[in-house]
Amino acid sequence: MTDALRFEGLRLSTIRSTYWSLSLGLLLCGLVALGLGLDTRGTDVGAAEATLLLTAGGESLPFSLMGFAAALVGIFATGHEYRYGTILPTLTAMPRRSALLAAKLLVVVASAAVAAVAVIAVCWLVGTVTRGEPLPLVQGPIPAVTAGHVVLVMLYGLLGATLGQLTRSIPAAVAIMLVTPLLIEPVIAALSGLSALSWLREVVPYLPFTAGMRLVGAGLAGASEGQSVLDPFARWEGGLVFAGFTALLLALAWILFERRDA
Amino acid sequence: MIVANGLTKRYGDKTAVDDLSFEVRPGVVTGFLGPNGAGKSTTMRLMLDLDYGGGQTRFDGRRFREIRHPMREIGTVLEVRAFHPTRSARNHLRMLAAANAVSTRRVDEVLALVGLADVASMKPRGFSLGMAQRLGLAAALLGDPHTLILDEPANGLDPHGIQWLRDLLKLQASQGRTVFVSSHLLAEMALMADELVVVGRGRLIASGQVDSFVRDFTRTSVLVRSPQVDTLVRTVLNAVPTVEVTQAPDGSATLSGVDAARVGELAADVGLVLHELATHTASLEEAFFEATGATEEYVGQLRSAPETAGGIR
Repeated sequence: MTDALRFEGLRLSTIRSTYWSLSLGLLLCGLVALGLGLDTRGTDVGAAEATLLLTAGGESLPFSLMGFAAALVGIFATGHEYRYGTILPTLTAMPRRSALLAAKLLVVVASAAVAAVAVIAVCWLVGTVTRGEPLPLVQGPIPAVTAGHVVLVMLYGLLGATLGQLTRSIPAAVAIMLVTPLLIEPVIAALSGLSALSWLREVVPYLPFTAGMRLVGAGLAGASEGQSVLDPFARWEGGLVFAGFTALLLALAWILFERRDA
Repeated sequence: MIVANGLTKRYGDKTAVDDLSFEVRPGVVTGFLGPNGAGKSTTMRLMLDLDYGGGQTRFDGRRFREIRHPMREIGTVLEVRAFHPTRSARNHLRMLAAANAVSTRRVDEVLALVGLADVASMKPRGFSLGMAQRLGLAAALLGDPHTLILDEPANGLDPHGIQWLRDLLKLQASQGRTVFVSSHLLAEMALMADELVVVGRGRLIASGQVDSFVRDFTRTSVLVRSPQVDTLVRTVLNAVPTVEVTQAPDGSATLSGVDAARVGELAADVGLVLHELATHTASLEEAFFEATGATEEYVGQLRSAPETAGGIR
């Protein structure tokens, strides 16, 4: 396993896509924080509003910006093997497939965690500079939201690697990562408002990306912290739904990776 | 020593590799021959547990996936451009070395060995086919393995590169290593290989020494040229009715199934003049075509059918 981790660490650190994916994510998050910081300059922000600044949009966005960047790193970790045919030298260097996949996932998740923490640091810095006063870090829901943000970005990275492995196609995996939270889930949520389709209201909380975003919920959209009108799950329960969805796909990807031809 | 036993691979109704068994001995270069679609690459992938199918291959008694650091025991080249286009050649090898606890110093050694030291830090996106092939060979040699499995390693190499490869593989074999190499360059294989495994439509056609293969699948023929060639042919057929004769309009004939000495003696007996009498030894290429002709998967339409009449073609 140590060899596999060394291999995967070098694989990740010796291609440009790792750096541009994470840099782009960090840049976008910084820009969102800049916009929010300028928008709230000279006004008091509560702890809930501060979470939006610290997590670059947090629950106000349909998906996590840095999460998507981490997902790209994950997609490339598995998808590049098939895009460039490197799965052959990889498996002749490390024929134990489970160890290889485990190493890929560990490295992606660790990178995602570092990137998620970096986002909080950058956003805090940008928010503090633009607002002219230090953003709070430990008030109210902030510790839980920032922790949820780190978990969310890690899950996005894990899901990206899973989809790359499952589809063996970078475009397909990217499309799923974008279309599901930006198109499919909002459409289902919207349809659930129709009386004829009211039964969809039972389904909406279980939509994985919607549920996952509860991890960065700060009670801005609903009656209480971590909840919204359509989504009855609290923060960690929502995270569990997203994690369960990811785990299900990962189990399928893992089984297929073990059984399919290279 | 490689022992492949009962290798089988099916894609739906099509059988790509059909109960294929063979052995590859150390100390010699063993060529792996077969027409396009014969199942050579699939066989190699089965051997390395990259594809799943029937049968198994053992390398000194172990399955490939059981070996902890396989690159230190078995070096492989399966695809020419199996690298990320923006990862430098050196980093590509460093990554593989890390997986097999091979030192970084060895990375530089093999880059120098294959002639890529000057472009080690370049991104291989712009590599020619020959350079890409050399990078693949560098990866195969990285762990200083005792076994090499190479799929068409001469593809893309220039004549100097091919000669270098031949010398390299012969050197590896002379050091007691096991070298198993597929190629469609028959002339090159004739120079490089000591033994052969020949397949057609996924089945074993022959295995053993190159000389034996050529002997088994061809007949040595005799070329005669005479102003009285018709008389000579009749004389030979009367004496040896099993001889196959192919006559050309230029007064020459090729006789199979009789040796040059016998033809000379028969000509002398009836006082015929001979302008040429030569023994033609078949090449590996001719033996290959003879052995695999019926198993060719993809056949072009330009070949004209030979005319055959009785014992004379």
